[in-house]
Amino acid sequence: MRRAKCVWSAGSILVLVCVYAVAAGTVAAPDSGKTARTVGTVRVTAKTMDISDRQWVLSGGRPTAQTSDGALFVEADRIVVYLDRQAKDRAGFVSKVSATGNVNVRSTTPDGQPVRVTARAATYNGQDSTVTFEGDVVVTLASPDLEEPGVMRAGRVTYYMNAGPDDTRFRVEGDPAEVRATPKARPAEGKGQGK
Amino acid sequence: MLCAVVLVAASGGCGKRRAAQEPSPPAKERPALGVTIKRSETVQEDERGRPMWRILAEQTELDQAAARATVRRGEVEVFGEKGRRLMLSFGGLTANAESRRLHAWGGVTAKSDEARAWFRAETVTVDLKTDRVVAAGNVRGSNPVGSFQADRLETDMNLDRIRLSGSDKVTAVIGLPEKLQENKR
Repeated sequence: MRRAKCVWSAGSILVLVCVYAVAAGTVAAPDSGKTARTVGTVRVTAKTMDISDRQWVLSGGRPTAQTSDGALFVEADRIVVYLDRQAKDRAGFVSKVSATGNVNVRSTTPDGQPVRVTARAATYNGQDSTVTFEGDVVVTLASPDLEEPGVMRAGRVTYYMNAGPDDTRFRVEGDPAEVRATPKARPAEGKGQGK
Repeated sequence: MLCAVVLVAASGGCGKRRAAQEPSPPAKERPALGVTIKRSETVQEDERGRPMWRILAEQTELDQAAARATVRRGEVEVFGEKGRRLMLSFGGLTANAESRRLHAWGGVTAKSDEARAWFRAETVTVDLKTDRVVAAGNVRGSNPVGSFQADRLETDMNLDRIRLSGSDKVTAVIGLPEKLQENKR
């Protein structure tokens, strides 16, 4: 049995949660309006591109792919962009993006907080607007509620790009999985009141 | 009005030779024709009588028993297998019927209506024997799913599969919303 650690913030209370075996942790989205976020136009760079009707294969020279709104930037050894020519709209045109080898992802949450992820592989799925990271995943997530950016380490992390305020934003799975976040100190309830 | 001179010419090794104005010279001698034609239309056929390309040009110089043509300022329609056609406009062009090869330079624009794709480059070479199209030098273009910029482009006459490469990075934008909207209608 392995041990996974989760350091969590819940209001002003710091909670240490220890779970055993394979950890499957989730991080809720902060209080923000739900925004539909899907990959539309993608700007790509690479040394070599092999283009067909259904996919663009990018290789050589550390290929990159970036959404037009800048919400997602991917750099890896190899990137494949899968297309759905039958898509009803622009949002569904890029159906999948697969990145492998030294994957480096930069994103922003709907409320504008930066997210950085490194992993061995990453897959964006246009159907449900998720990005799944696999292999030595390290997620660094900044939040105004945290003293410093939180760090998650796991074997597999799913990032829900469309997560609303009450939805799960990250699903963290690992053996072990580790989530570290230090909340900002807040005045205790009642303190300073009534003066 | 163009003064259209239609030549159906081919080398001895690769097609019927039917010179429009002069009798064909013996294949062994292969003398240079030294014919210069202003504002011409030249159709090149293969050995089965199928058109390989049709050149519309301001000036065409025929050489080597009409197997090779050097063309200034014009357009060439290249006929591939499966009925696919590629239209090139160019500053200069060498068309070699023996090798079934075209080499265009001087700001070349290539366009395929069937593939709904086009690209520009400094040079474009079409090899009908191998069904290869190679564009080089400041390549820019687009197809129904995106637009691109590269140093080199390799494809076939169908333009179904395109390889882009560059000494520096190739850049492209995938997804053209206006095209998708057209498709929906």
